[in-house]
Amino acid sequence: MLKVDNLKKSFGNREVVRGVTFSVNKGESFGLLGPNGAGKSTTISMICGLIESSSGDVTVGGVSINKNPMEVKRKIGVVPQDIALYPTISARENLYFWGRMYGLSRVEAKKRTEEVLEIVGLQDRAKEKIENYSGGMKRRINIGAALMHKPELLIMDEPTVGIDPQSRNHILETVKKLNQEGMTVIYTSHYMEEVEYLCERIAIVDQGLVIASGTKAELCNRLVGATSIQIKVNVSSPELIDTLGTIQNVQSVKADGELITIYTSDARQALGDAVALVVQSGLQVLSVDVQEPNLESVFLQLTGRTLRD
Amino acid sequence: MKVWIIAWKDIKIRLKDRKGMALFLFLPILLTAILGTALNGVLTDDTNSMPKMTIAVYNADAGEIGTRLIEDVLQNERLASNITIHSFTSKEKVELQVIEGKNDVGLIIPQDFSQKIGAAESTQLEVLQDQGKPLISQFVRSIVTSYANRVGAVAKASKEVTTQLANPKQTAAAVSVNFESLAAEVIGQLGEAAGSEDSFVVDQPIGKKAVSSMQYYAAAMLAMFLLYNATVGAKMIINERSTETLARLMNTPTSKTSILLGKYVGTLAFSILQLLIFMGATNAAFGVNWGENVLQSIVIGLTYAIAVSGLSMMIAAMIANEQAVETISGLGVQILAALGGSMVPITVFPDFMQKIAHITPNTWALNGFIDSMSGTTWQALLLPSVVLLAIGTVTLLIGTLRLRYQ
Repeated sequence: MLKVDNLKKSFGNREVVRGVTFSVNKGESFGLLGPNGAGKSTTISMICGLIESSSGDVTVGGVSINKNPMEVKRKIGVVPQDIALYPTISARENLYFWGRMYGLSRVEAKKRTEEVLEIVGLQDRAKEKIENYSGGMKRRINIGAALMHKPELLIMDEPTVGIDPQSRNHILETVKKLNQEGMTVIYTSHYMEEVEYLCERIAIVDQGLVIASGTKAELCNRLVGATSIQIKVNVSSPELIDTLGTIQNVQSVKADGELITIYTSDARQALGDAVALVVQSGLQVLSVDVQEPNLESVFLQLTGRTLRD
Repeated sequence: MKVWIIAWKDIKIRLKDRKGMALFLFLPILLTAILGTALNGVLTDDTNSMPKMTIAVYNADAGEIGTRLIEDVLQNERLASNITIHSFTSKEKVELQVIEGKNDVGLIIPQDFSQKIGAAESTQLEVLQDQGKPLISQFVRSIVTSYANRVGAVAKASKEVTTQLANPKQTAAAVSVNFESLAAEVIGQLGEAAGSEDSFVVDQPIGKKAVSSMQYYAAAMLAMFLLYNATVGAKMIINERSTETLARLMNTPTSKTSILLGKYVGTLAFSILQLLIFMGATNAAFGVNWGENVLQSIVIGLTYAIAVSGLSMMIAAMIANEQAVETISGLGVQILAALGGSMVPITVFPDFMQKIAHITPNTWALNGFIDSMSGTTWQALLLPSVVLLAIGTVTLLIGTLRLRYQ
């Protein structure tokens, strides 16, 4: 569906995107994860044809953005990071206008407007001006505007920034449903949990480059000893720490008073062995917590920084 | 097609903006009413400043000159709307009418008025005045006195000439002339001339007619408030850029040129709408005559709308900051409006100021409107139309080219 081939973009002497390459299959939900300033939005802008790349190419459904930008734009629906709507006209009028701009006839645009209002769950507020909407409602219409022409590829650039949890959930559910109905989705965010929830495959972007990509499991498997088991005991015991270090697949053990952290690549086996050793040593287990590896830890390991740095 | 979709969206946004609508439609009409009324008579046509009055007349004169005074002077085309004549059959009845306040002024034309004037003899018109209405009495007195003096003067001169010509010592060529009939004819013709409307024309307008203050300020307010579209149009483009809707528009399969033309056509269409509503409203509410051939005013308005819409594109291309456009809108338009004659007639300015004013499109527009109202020719409107079109075209090109590459 989408092929991004060695895309580069420089502003003056500053190279913002330094050769991004990835592809997205039809019907797939693909995540672009990276901190602010990583080059995600610039990459998205080049995919949409909003800014010209310095080099490289993008093809959507086999059509090159460099050769036929209008055709590519017809296939794409873009949800921008900011609310890009006309605040003094109603939601219905906004949707109708964007439908017409994507080439729908008057009749088609009217019909589709009602459908989209239903998708975003705002039929009952459709007559109200956008300026009277809450932040979350604006975000929903912002997404709706990109759905008017039933795009083959929906690109969402941080669509949940600054909204309440309820609206965020609604948006995530809407995107999930659209994807399940067959729409290809590219979702960019620096919220790891959103990308994890929505996306089958993920590319981690940092400093203008894709530094890793794959499914969540594939990315997490890159981390050795990424699962941590935290056991709280009643009395600290240096001898116990040494013993726990001998368990199979345990990479390291750290102690902070009564709190023991065990890093392992096989949490299931290590947890049983560790609890058994604690009990055998005559200590009491007060609490146990297992932390699976996530994209945050992958990013941390790959870059030495957190996603929100 | 997409040009129209964008333009219609912009028009809709502006029509829904109540504050903007008040500024663009209601305020100019209100200002026209205030300025047009307050400065009534300041301009060349003073009939609107003249009070309405009634005159009770007893015309005892059997001759032509007394009748002319009533029909050609007091009831001529320009005064008839303000003066109502009531005729009575005796002096006493006229006096009674004035005393009882049923008529503002009384006028008695004596029995042998025409004959005595013709013979260059002394005669007297009587103006009976209501003490409570000195201005009206004064006004009527000055009109009839002026008429009587002029006819009397002509009669005396004619009599003198015919007397001289009748002298046998004069040239032999004059012997065959019928001097009495010549004198009567001369007096008749000059009397007619003395009573004609042309005698009251003081200034020579550009066209056939002078414009009233209401007409002037209608044109002036239209020129000023249409100019605001240059800044409002620019603000709409800048706003579209700052709210990311421009980026979103660029994400749709729409060319940059279509987007920019859509913005231009939106401003142009709103300006034309404003022009037509304003012309219609001022005509309906205040009877503003936009010219015998109203098409002339419309053509000037259309070329002016093209000019201000072009300016909006250039301003948007030159200024990226909405705040700066606000300043231009507030101060710049006021300065241009003042310079262009929208506050006070441009004719009161010194010559060099009047020349400088021609750099502003509103000056050309205002002059064009005034010329149209005063009944000028299409040929005379060619220059302002071409200048306005040129301003519109050049600014549109500069603006569009710059915006395309931003």
